[in-house]
Amino acid sequence: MQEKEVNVEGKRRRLLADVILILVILAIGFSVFLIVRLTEDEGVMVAVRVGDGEEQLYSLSVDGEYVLNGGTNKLVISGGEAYMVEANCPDRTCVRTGKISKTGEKIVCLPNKIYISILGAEEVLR
Amino acid sequence: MSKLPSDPRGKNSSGDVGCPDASADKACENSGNSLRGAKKSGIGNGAGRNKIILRRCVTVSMLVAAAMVLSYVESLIPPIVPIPGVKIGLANSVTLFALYSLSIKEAGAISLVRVCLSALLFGNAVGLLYSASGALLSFVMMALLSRSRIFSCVGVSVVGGVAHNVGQVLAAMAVMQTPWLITYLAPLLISGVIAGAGIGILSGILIKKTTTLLKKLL
Ligand SMILES: [Zn+2]
Repeated sequence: MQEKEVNVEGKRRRLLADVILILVILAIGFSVFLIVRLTEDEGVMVAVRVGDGEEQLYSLSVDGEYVLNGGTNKLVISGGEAYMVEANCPDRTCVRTGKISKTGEKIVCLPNKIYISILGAEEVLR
Repeated sequence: MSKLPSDPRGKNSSGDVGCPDASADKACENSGNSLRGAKKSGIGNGAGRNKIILRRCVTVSMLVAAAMVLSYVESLIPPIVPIPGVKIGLANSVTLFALYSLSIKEAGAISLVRVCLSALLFGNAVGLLYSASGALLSFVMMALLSRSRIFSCVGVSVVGGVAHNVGQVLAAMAVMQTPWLITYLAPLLISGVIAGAGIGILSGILIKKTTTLLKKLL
């Protein structure tokens, strides 16, 4: 009987710990989301890196299509937004990421090791 | 640890089926000691011990098979959030189950075999690096927390889910030599919590339902 009471007590304690844990992680998640949203800025340039290669810079205000990594991926810059239109990777996460235009936003294609990020005015000047 | 050397199968430690965590904890203690208990007390001598070893081997193999099926099912589901590294982690439920119902060693073995086999069957070499980092970080965190008993298996699963996502992205950053992708942190944490909580609740029910059966078998 007493053992059972201890079990119920422990169960309640762990349930509380679970709820606190979940709330803390969610709170961190939402604050990071807010910080990212509040500090983001209009992008100026698109930086593209394939594998260990050099970073290529393209202007966000110049429309164009760029074939990357010998044809595995195709990047489009149009109307101040950058997005991946074609990719031969199995997960197609890069294409599904959609259009990016704000500083800090990224398109990553892990299988083809392509990393595309948006740079703001400050980063470009540096 | 081994309070019941004369009863390796732990049949007499019943009476708490209503509490999944406590009974699961007890089940894992019992099964963790079942081999040693059988050796010490000499119950059933060689044949009985072999029977228990065989049963444990079969259980571990079946859990590997279950984890493989779940990995395969997950590879068919398109990623819900378009962020590299985010996964539901269905196979994590098997690791969680093994941590509570078997032992850390056996759970680790199941996790290791699952990661290697699914990379061979439905992945590639690059994918292996990411999934192995995610699985390793997730396993270490879950193994520690499942034994500390601060959280129930839902809390353990939540930490496992978040650790899995974060581990994969950390590996991606190391490979691609990019700075910390802070924009990814928020969706990684939130999706990890949701997936982890769901998997944890389901695994908790499963652990609770199978405790009595496993006690008899192992
Ligand atoms: Zn891709």
